[in-house]
Amino acid sequence: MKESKQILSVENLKICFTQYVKGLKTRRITPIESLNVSINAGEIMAVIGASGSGKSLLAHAILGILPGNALCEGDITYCGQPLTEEKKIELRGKEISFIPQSVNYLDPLMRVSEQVKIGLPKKDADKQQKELFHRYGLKEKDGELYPFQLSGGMLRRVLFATSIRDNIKLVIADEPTPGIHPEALSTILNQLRAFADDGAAVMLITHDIVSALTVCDRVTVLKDGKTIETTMAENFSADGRHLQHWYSRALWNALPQNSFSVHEEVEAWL
Amino acid sequence: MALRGTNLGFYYNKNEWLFRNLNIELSYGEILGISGYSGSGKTSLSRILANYIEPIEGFVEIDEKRAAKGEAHPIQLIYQHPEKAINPKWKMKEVLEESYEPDDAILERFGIRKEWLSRYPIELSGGELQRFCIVRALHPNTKYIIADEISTMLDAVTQTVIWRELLDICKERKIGVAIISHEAALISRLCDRIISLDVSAKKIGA
Repeated sequence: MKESKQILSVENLKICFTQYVKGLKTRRITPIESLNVSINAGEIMAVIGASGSGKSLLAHAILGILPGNALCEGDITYCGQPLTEEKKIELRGKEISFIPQSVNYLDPLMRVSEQVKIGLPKKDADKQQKELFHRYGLKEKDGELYPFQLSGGMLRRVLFATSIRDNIKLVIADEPTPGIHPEALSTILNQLRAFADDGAAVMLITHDIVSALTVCDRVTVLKDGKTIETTMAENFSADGRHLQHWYSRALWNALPQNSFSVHEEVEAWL
Repeated sequence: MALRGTNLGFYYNKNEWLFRNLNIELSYGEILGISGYSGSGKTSLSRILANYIEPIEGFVEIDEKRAAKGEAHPIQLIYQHPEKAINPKWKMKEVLEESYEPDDAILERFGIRKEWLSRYPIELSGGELQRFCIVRALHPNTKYIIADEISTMLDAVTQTVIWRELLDICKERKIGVAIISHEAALISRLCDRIISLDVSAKKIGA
């Protein structure tokens, strides 16, 4: 049996943005209304959902990197303690590791090897960085390059390498896999599994349900800023009849590996 | 009538060829899949085909006359990262209407909501931005579309709908589409014909 200690719990998360419309007139939009997700030690939780359903915002809220005009309500608990803004600043990059969605998060003016060394112990940063590059199939001389000189898939692997640190308890991976070919993909997924097997909690935000299912334990499905279903990974099989919510079934059946089709009722919602 | 690349070769560092002696042809209304590993040169090839960069060897030609300055190019490239292809300081309405004014019908087909038009790019998700990039590439002059991993940021339902709409429009207008992706299941669903960059890269080694 795996340990069942809860590492992260997010309850009734609500995020709204204040926008200036004209002059000093403001309006509010609420992209996340009520999100609930909890992850135990040793577990990979895949978070899937429509694009724009608030998956990245969820990650950013946990890390405390929402933009200044965002207002965040609800309870986020980390290892039994409320995760306050100060705590987030203290823990991120040390116990909480983040793999961002966009390759724009890399510094365009810094060689990629230097970016991977940030936060590694000074003494053997060089050695560790080279090992990480080797592990993710990057060549040693790729480290000398700047982000614009690498392909999308290679940048992903660099981003991933920046997240590997000792003492990680919570990993938040925001779509770490698009544009990566199958071999590198399985390296990354296996690394996430290794994090979990070492006792960390892993949140894997993704569209790639098929790959996620090869490593994850449970799946949370989001739609329009709400959690609609949390289910065991094995329920995503065959025609998805074990899934509770119609949207979870629609996501599953729309995959090119499955029927690659969308029901009319689902489309009406789009 | 076709977009033709002859003897294409490209590298970033001298003599480390990403690919060489690559011949590629895309006819009107055809849907061609290009697959390959990350780093195999898929994106470089798509930028060469779309005339963004010059190949080191070989040339790209189309039957149409060259686009005059200020006119939309007949070959349109849709990028892997929409957030990089959009001016962050423009509102989405300006982004959308830069080259032509898309009608409501096409916005609806791609699920672009009216309320998004008054937002800045940072206020939309990657999948929402990509729909704008697709619609603005469908200029009336467009004859070929090069789609470089354009659906990796979309959920499965949206991916299915967007590909169906895009390919339907391309078939109606006889636009040739090159779909670049590493996802074998997707490419085999969508394309008439598939070429692999890995195989052509091996040929060079032989």
